[in-house]
Amino acid sequence: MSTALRRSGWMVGAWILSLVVTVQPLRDSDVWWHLAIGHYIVAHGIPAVEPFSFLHAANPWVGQQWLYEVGLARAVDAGGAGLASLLMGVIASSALLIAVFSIPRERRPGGPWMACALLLSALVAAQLVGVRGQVISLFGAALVLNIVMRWRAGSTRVLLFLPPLFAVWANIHAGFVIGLGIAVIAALAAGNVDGRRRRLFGAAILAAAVATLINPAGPALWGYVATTFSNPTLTGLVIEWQSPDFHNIWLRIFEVEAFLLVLSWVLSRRRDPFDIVLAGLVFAAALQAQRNVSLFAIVAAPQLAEYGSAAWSAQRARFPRLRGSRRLRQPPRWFGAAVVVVVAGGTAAAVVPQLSASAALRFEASHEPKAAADFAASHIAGHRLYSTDTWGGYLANRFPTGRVVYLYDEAAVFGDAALQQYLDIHTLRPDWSAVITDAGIADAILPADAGEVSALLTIGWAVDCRDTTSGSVVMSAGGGDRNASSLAAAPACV
Amino acid sequence: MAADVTSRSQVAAAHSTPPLGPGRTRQSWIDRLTSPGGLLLSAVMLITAFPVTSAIRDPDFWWHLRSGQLILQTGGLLHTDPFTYTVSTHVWTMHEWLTEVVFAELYRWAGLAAIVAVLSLVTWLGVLCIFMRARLDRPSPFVLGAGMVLAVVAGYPIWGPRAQMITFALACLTLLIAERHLRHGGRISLTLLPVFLIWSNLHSGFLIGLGFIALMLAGEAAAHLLHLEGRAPGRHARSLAYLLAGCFLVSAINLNGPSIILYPFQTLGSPAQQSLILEWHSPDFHDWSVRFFGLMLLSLIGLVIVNRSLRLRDAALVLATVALSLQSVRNIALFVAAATPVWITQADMVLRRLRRPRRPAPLPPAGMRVISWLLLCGAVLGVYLGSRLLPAMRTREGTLFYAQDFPVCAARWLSADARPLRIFNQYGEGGYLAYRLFGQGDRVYVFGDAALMGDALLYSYGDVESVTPRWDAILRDAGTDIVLFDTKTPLSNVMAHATDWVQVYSDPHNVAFAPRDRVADLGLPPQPAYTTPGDACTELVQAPPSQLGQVSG
Repeated sequence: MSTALRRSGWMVGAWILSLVVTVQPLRDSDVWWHLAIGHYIVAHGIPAVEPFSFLHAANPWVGQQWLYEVGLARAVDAGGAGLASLLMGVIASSALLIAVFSIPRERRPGGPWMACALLLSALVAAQLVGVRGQVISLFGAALVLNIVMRWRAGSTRVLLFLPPLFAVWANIHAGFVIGLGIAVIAALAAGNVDGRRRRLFGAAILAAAVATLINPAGPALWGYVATTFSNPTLTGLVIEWQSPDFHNIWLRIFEVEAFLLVLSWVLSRRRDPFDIVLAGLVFAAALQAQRNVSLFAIVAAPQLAEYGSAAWSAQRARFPRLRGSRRLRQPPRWFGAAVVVVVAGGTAAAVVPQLSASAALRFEASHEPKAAADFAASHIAGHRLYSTDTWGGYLANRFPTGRVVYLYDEAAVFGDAALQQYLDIHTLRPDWSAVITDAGIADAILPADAGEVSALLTIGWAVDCRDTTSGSVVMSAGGGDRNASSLAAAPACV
Repeated sequence: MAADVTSRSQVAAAHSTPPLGPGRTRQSWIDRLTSPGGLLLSAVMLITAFPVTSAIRDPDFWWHLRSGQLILQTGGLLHTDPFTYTVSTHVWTMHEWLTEVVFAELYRWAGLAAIVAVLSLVTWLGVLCIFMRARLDRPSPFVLGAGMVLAVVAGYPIWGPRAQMITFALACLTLLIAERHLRHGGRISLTLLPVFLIWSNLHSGFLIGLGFIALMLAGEAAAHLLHLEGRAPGRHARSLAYLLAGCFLVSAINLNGPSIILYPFQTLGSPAQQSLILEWHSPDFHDWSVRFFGLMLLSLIGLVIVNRSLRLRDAALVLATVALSLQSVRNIALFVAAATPVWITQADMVLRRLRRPRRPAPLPPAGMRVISWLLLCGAVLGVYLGSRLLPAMRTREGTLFYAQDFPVCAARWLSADARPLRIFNQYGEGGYLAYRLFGQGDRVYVFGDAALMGDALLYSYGDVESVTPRWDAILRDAGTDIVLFDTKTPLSNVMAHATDWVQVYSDPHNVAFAPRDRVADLGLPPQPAYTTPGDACTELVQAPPSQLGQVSG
């Protein structure tokens, strides 16, 4: 059996196994408003202004993810949430596969190294993938990495892929700037590349940057990206933009991967400065905002495989004890195929049950205020609903008409004033009560243990019903006895 | 981990430089001190005292002080918690009893000024130990100075007069002694025994010192196994292992008994402490002061990658302290203690590669050099004393500086009430309230000894602080007489609307509420007017909100 075939077997097995962690239910709270916008675009086209909230959004709607949103809506309509989960899981795992295969052909290590690197990176990225536009950006980043490495290996034809890639990417997710960043770093680190190829690469990057203007918002897309990245309220509010919490075991895996990468660099004989600079910058970005941990996983996967293998070879040469173990005899071809089939079967057993409509409904009912929203639809239809930003997206999907939703995590559109107003209520600042009254809000759907629930009880709001499955409550102004015991006595949302 | 021949030989050359021998004369010592490098390092070491000196901001300081006073009064440890009305039956392991006694004695002798001065000095001595450990590899003065500056800037989020600085300084001392022992052997390392005997009575962080030695020995064992260059002689490692065992045993000689060795694990194993207490959170790299730690970490990684040469014992220390500091911001001090000499050695290796050896320029006459040294150090010392140490020492308890960080005015208001009260308080303010009001019988809900409080109480406190629907029930079930909390917090903003509670006090820092049905029985003093000129509370009330927090310490 050839080395390439064996390597392919390992990679197919690893790719399939990685689906266990990359195929996820609709866990990201933003997915719901993306879904709602997708349906809106299919019906009416890209909106000019924010279409769901009763707040006055400060900025016009920038449909920077319109293609992802339309695709998401089509997928959910065609095959339910399960199909969307499967598709995005496949894309996430494929991103890792493409990243690992960015290692130049002549430097590719054995299959076990590449498979282990892919699986470790899949574990690292697991908390930040799922059904979300960022997965597309990971895929795009992996493609750019692959193109860059091929260009560095001598190909110039591959650069032709850059402009169309960025033209599509800019219509799917604002993370295209990461791809441009990777390309620019590669251009700056290409000291030993001849002038013609460098000029071609520069031209390709320029063309790619221009291609990003081909989107419904045009150059305004760049303004949107700048607004999002520089918004301190956003970075303070959204956990994903905050530094990693290393008490979380998943982020400890990120730490382990970073350590293994540094160890591999130190112990291997040959290091590419581009690799080190790129991984170093992405590591710093991941320490700043944990959403970049998944990008680190993409960048680290090929390096871990390549340098890990090189380090092992170098140390085996240095230390006779490491050479002591006898090489195992090559297993027969059927054995490899059987292992892949077993892995595929095991993965299917773990993944397929998640993809059913009933599983999706169960997940939705336990993680989103489904029963509370059902209650609101039947009892307080048309009323303005206050909720937390994370549940605002779900309510936008449940109540896409009538502008009854308060706010969801599209911070750049709502603007800082709206975010501050939300924080006045959510963090119970001194004027919280006046803000909620001035906004004309008389109903709310909230987590049962939220501070807002206690606060609203003190000003005489009543608990209309309680959804124990998701831990949510529906509240209305007036009629309450200002006592928390009314919470426990509230009827179930039906 | 030495990876290629060139870099290994460089390291070997760097490491094989003989130590200062007894033959060195006084003249050569003065020559080194007054050389350009010596001038630079003298100035840098004085400059490192700036960031480690400040007035007391640690909220735990106050209950440590009161505990020390109580130990001196009673002549023994307090076996249960005297300060709270919630966990007064909990058994108290006073792992910092000796620190508390020292605080109390210093306070009796010269007030807060003495404590500030001593703790600043202790922290700086820790920095000096880092410097001396880094010097063992004989780096260039420029790299040594740059590394020391980077270290104290990286540790900026942690510095300040607090009991934890004792552990920092003793950890630095332990690393210095252990490293010297591994290189040169000798009996000086026996000083570790009394160090650990005292340390285990000062602070439970002595376990970190034992852990550091164990990590160094593990690194040495691996280096011997792999026959790596740069490893210490086996006999030195073996004697250090015996010393480690000795240190472990003497650590058990403690007024709390041998159980002190297990005590630190209560904190590390407590999910409530790790999630609720800010100091145990992971570093927030959006905070500029933490970014220097990030800079030091990333630059250290870069240097190690370039050099591809690192002693395994250093690698073990760096790896452990990186993991600890990424877990909890308070551990950045440990990273600084363990990793700074490694950073300096690595940076020096890079510099040696880049720089051609130059013949040293002739020095000016000795007299001129000594005068220059005295002028430079005198100037830096003068600036330090005038701008940092003396202002920090002069900051008194009743001043605006403390009034805007601690419930100084509210405590003064409560002290006018002779009846013992049960006070629900902010976690970080329990220590101050215990310090001020314990004598008149008032008890707090919670204070900063989180292990003593226990996870159940911490979670209950968290429920009230974040105003979950149980907040009112928790307060009433505990028998709370009064809620004294910071203004503009969710709890105080909600209580302002709660009909069952009535506001009985407010100043720009604190607000107090009492149960409406019991407020008359409590007989609380009236809201003070705060109009006395020169009074800290008057200044607090009259200061515009934008100026609060800007008073220099």
